[in-house]
Amino acid sequence: MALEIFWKGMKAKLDADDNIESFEVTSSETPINILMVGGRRCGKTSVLATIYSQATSFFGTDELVITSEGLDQEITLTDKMDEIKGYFSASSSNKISEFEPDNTPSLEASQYTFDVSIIGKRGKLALNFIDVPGEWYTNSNYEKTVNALVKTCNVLLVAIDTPHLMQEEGIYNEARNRIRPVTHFIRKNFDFIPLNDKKTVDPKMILFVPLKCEKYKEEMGKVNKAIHESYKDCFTYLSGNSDKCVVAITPIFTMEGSKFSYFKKQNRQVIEYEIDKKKLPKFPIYTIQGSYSNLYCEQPLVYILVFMLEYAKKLKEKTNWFGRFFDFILRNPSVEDFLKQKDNLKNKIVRDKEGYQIVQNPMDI
Amino acid sequence: MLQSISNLDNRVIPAFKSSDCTGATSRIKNVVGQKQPKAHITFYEQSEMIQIVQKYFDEIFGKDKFRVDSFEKIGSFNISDLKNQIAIGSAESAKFDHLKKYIEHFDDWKNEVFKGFIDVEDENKIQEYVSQHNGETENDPKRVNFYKYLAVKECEISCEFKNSDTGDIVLRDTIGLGDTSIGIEGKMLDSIGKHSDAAIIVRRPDSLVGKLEEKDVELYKKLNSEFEKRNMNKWLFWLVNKTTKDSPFGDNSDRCEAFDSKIRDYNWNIADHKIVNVTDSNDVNDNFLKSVLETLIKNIDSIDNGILSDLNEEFAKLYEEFVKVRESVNGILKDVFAIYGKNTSNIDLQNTIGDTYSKEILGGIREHCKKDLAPKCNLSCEEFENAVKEKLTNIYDFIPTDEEIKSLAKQGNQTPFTVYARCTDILRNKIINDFQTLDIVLDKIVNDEKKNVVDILANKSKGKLANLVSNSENLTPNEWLEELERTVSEEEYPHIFDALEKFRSFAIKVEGFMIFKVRNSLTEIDPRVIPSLTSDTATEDDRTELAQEILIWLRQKIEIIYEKIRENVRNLYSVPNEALFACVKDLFDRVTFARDDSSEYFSLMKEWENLYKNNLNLLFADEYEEFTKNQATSKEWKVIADSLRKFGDKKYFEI
Repeated sequence: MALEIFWKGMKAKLDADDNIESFEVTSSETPINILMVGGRRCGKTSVLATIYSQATSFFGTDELVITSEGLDQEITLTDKMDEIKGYFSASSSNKISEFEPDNTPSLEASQYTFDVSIIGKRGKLALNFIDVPGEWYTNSNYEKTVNALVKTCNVLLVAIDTPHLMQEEGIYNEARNRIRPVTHFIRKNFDFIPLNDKKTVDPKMILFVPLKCEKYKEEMGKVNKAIHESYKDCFTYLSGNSDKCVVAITPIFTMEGSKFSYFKKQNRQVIEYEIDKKKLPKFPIYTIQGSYSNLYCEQPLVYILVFMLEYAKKLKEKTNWFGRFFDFILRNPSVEDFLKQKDNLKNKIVRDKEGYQIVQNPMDI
Repeated sequence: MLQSISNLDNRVIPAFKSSDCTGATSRIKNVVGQKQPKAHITFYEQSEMIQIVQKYFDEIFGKDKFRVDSFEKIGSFNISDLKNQIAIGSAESAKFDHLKKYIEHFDDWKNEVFKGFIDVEDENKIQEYVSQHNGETENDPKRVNFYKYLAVKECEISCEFKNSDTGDIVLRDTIGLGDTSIGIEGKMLDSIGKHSDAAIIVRRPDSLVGKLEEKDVELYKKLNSEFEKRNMNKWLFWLVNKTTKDSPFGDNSDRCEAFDSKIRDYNWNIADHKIVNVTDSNDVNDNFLKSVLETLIKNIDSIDNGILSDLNEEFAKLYEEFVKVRESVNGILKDVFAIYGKNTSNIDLQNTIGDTYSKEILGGIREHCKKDLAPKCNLSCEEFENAVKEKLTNIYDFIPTDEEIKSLAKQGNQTPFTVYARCTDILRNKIINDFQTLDIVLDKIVNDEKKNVVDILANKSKGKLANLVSNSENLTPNEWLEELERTVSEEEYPHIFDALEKFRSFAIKVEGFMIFKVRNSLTEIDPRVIPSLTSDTATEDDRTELAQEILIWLRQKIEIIYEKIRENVRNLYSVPNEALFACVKDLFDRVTFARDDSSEYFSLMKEWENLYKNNLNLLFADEYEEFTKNQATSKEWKVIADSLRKFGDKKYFEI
């Protein structure tokens, strides 16, 4: 039933009057659905903006082309990038300065669709990023909706606010990154069935994406370790299904030249505010020096495409496998052309450095 | 001068111009209403007289050349024979003249010795006891010599002073220092040190050539070395006695000025010095005495403190003597109890002794290790962890303020880099200094654990050693252990002594296991790691900008340092627990398994057994009392031993 709700609708709608909230995913073609997972203000929307921004130039040298579907979406993502870059334009030359990022959370669920196509070829792959407010993961009013989303999405992109993970002995980690609810939704909705069983649903990929980790660039091993410790229950559950789910840690540096500095303190105590009965630092302070750049922001997209194409290849080789989404790929008029791009993309995957780790890899990406 | 103050005359206070006249020292009390002077005269005992005379013999003829075997023998020495043995004009001649008086006039004073004391109210009679003669010159037929003073130990005279409102003042006369009697100087020092709150040195310079002489300087040095710790500048007065032209000594006023000015030049450590005509009652009472009393009232606290300091020194000596006595008595008792110990095989006491050291002490320490300390070994020591976390939080306070940075930038030819480096220098030192104060917390943790072990050793229901060394509340564990070590001598119980000493010396110092970790965490603010600063220091505006820029860097760096220190020390929170376990385990091993390499066979248990058996009377007082109930003397010994133990607390020997 949940699937039908998803594919039927034509636009995203948040019905605040209903006690049980619903969200409808729209697409002109059957898409690859990617759910952005993470707590409030941990940077999910920023990730999307930088992924899109970076992927455009990253794929520019290849035969692949990525385009945004619709003007509104283009404007939203461009505005977000402008906001990020705006922090840099406010600082002068090479002088160090401090800033406090905008703390306004996204209140509405959004859907961003990127179309990936091959120059000169027909057909495209639609990547449908679903970005719901962080509050949905902790509010029972949205539980059914989130359950349906987690169950049906092919890829989960778990955004992690790294300073909250690492600083102050991690006391703000749970409040910001909402590890327990995230783990809960994954455990509840990942009903894995062996891949060679005809009743199987499509395999999934979960990418843990540490954000705002510029401060820790020289010690990303520690960030990696902290993720393993924090998401221990989640990893344990997923390791029991290591033949059906790709799990990777893919840090991205969305704002090189900027670093988290400290949580503002008063009388030697971090100044806090309370949300959902949990205390969070009120004023995270970042420093900025030099000009804007970023690193590895295209990687989540590269991982997603390689994962998808590897699976398509396997489906083609083992016709007894079945999957709703990959049926669509195999019916794509340019399927052979996409599969030819796979190895090229695979070479661009960052592995085993600066915090990158493919934790389990049944798809051999 | 004493006459001027007290209103007494030469009969009671001899002060003749002719020669040395004071025979015995007097104390003169102001008793309001006592118009007629009254003397309470105390005499030496026979044994004291023998000692006095023997001392003259020893000093004149050499030690023990002549022995004064009895009191009566004093009068039996042959003066001529004795005189032949000393050279005429030698230094001993003057002393011999004194000895001669004791021998030749033995019959004149010997009867007084038997009296103990007498009270005399007749002033003419008093003179016979305190004066050497009646004041007439030697050739004057009216001259009368007195000898009873030789037997006088002390004379206390009560009378109303001229200014009767001077209060409970007591004056103490002493024999002039020019007198050749033996022990005069000692008596004076004794008189000042033990009996006086203040002292007045009276000196009359000669009218023609009088000046401050070497002997005056020597006297001052002597007093200074004796009373340096007693705040001499609060109570010692130097009176320069001025005489007039119509006095037998002539006008010495210019010599007095010279004398007094020399005292001033020397800047002696005394309360005051004044020129006074001691025969002028007004000068003495209204000027000098008034000034002395006012000075004393002003200085009374300091004087008391000086006396207390002296007394505490005396008490310290007394305590040492007490410890010797206690050890002697215990030594005697040990011999008695050693015999007792050998005969206890058939009674329960033998088992009780064994149980006490083996179960209560050795077993107690082992159980404490096993149950209380071992389980905590790998756990964080909460008290220490909290203290470290407090220090960690403190580091934020050490960032220099905006104003401090600007002030640094103003000093000399500073560049942005040198200002930043200076800030980090300050920061590093402050952080390290603060972490070093963790030693205070560690000392407390170690002290608390030592208390636990001392309880096992001392508790009367456990090791009972508090019966040997009182474990009063005001003793720290280390003080108690030190006291125990003094009692458990190294010679008799070398291994127990060694174990106690090592345990007492145990300490955990943060320098050894943590400071280097903290220091290694400070590389972010190492002078070699200078961030890129854009400001320069040319103008006031630039300095403001620079301070802001440096503050941003420091705030960023301090967070990194915080994390690094936290990370680097997090594994050290259990160190106190581990160290305490090791320390107490080491004590257990030493008091249980120590071996003496020099001997073929050694039993540490025997050492423990001896310790308990040798101190049975104290450690097992009740059991011992049962054993000795038929021995009357043993009970007395026990009372003595108990008393000695009871008063063994050093606090009884302190003021």
